[in-house]
Amino acid sequence: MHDDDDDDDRPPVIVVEDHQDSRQMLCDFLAAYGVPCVTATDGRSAIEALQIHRPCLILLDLMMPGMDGFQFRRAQAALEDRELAAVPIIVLTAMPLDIDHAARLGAMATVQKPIDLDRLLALIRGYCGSDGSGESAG
Amino acid sequence: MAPGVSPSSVRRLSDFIRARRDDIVEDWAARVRSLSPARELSHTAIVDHLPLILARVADMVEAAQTGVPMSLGDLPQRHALDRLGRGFDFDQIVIEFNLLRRAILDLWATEMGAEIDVRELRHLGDAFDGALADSAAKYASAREKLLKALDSVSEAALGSADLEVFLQNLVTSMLTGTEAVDTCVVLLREGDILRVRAAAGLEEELRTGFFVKTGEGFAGRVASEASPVFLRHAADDPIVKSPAIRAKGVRALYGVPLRREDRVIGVAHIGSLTAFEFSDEDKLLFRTMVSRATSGIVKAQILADLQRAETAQRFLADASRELAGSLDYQVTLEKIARLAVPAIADWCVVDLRENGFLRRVSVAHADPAKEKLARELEERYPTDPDASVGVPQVIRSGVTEWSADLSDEDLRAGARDDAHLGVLRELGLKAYIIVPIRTRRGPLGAIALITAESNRRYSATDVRVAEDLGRRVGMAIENALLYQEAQEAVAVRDRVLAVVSHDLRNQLGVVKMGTHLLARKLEATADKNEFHRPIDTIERTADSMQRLVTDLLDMAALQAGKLTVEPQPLVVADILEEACRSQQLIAAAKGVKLTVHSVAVDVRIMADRERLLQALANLLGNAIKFTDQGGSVTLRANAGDEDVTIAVDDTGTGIPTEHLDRIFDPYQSLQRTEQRGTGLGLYISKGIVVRHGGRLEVESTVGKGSTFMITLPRLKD
Repeated sequence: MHDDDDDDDRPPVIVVEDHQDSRQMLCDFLAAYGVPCVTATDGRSAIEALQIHRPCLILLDLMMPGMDGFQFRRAQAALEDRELAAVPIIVLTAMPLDIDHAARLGAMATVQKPIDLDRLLALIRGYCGSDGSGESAG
Repeated sequence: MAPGVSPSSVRRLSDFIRARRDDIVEDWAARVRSLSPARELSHTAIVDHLPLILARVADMVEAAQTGVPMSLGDLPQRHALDRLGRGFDFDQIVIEFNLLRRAILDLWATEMGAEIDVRELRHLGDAFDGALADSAAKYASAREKLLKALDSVSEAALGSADLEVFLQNLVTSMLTGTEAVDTCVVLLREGDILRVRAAAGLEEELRTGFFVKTGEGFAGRVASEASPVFLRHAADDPIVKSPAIRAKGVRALYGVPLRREDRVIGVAHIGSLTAFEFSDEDKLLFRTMVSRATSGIVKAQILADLQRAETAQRFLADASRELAGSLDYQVTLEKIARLAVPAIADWCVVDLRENGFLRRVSVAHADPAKEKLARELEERYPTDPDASVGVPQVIRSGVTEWSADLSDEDLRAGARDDAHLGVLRELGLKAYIIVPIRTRRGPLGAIALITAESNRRYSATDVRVAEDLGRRVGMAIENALLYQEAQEAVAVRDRVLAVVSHDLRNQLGVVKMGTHLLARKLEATADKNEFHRPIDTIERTADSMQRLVTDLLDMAALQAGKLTVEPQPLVVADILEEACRSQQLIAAAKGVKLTVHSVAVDVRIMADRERLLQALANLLGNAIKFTDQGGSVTLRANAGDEDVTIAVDDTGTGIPTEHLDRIFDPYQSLQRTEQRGTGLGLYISKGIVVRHGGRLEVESTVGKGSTFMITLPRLKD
């Protein structure tokens, strides 16, 4: 898990991604645009992170070892805390045909890898209310 | 005067006839030969009973002296029957007797002078009158029977075109048309055997399919001698092989060959349970019927052969259609086994060799209960894969194995134990052909065709048909295997492509994000310009790699028929504007003028927005790439009642005519190494358009430019 900004009490975005470089880079990128970010390497740790950090948005990779994206979504939906069960999901995928899967999963949007960064930032602003102006350069 | 005959001792006509019998016969035979039915006859055939008749005539003439009444007995009748059988009219028989009288009297006149005993002369006249009267009566009645018999042959022939029915009619009419005939059998030749094909009174022989080799047994001797054979005590005669003839206690047995030109095509025989002899009349009748029936049999055989050939051809055609129609050879082999029954077999069994084991792919028989029996049999007595005969041997050697006739010995040889033999006998197997299923990879299996209930026997022609089937099945299986392998190769390629592209995208994402982050952080520093160029290069390279991956995935999806499109109503004018906007920077950078012509807003189409933009981006990108600085690229649309055509015009280099039909081919474009990127753009664009139910066409003139046109159905309100 990666806490980017300890002083920030805004709800973070969770990046659930097994590929280490991708995970780290995405979080660094979001942090550069002032979006607080925590990471999880699979579905199980994502559920824990969800309960600890109460994020405003989940960026979810589908293909992961252990608990994959689909299993995570089922586990999330089954949470007793209805607020946590309803945290919106954006699916990150490198597979062109995953759009159907994302729809079945109830995702709000699908973002193809390599990620269109402008579009991703726009989506985050939409769900988390951050306008990205509070960037922490350096 | 002949030597050794003294005139003094030959004062009487009767003595003269006896003494000069041979001369009289020779003289007479020379005269008779001028009669038309006699021209082709041998000397012996012409002479017939004449020496005997002359001896009796002499006896009758002598009665003038002795007063003892004599007669010609049945000789005139027998002669008349002989002549009837040789095609003489009755008039010609009258002439024969007149010629005989002339021969006697002329020789007498030449040698003895005119003087003749009147009483002797009268007795001679009586003898001839009697002979003629007896001949006439016999001739008339025999001829009537003969005509009836021939009628029955014709009726039998007319009754059916089916050879078996014709033959059965024939033997039945033989029994009803003659006295003292209790059995009648027709055997036809099949190679070097004669097989019973119709029987009356000896039905047992037909039921068991009795056969003998030519030269062996009674019928075999008739065939090898090519002439009639007669036995008085057939049941006890060592030559007779038929158990049925022995069991029935047949006495007189008369067999005649069925001849067509110089060939014996079969044998027919009649038998009596009471008499030890047949009358000449019955024999003649039988010979005549058989000779008349032969041409009918030959015709029916030819017809039957033709029908068999036709059935075989139809079967092969049907089988080929099935083979061509499906690449799932398991299912196809089942169907072919079903087609083979009953077209060319009562049983059809297909075995394939898989990993050194035999697998029974199909068993077909008209009766499902028998199929079950065959499958149980195979489970109880599995085929020994090392057997030196049958299916394993055929698969090993690739050489056909067949038997025109399965004997009980064959079944015994093939049976594992008594119970097995019992089942084999019960199945009533008659003949079989096992052909290899051959492929270029070697024999793959075998098809067994077996006959039972139909009593059908196999010939060399059937073997050719079966081998043809084996070849066709082999080719079909080979095609199916090749197809399967190709499918598997494509599936492997798709899996590899999916995995590789997934990883590539992930990692490209990291590169792009990293570069972006780096650029952002550098913006604040003084060294920003120093780093601008390398960062820009990294970003462009990553973008280009991303396009490559996307193209590869799209190509794979197109080839697998899995490219998904989600059409929605689109305003054409908006699409053109957006497509242009995305290429404007590139065009400007190259110094190419990119313009879009407006189109009415009510012109709409149903299309997947992203996919259509992808296709247009490809076309516009190409147009800009192949147009020199100062040239122009135009995007426009023409709306018809039914269709909308979106066209990309350029003033570029153009495409040579000989390349025009290849530019949409993915592999062709892959070979164009001078081009950057995969060169899959046109192939993918066309795939996208076709997937929408539209078409992508090109017109081009070298040195003037090209026009690519996408035509899609217009959306009506």
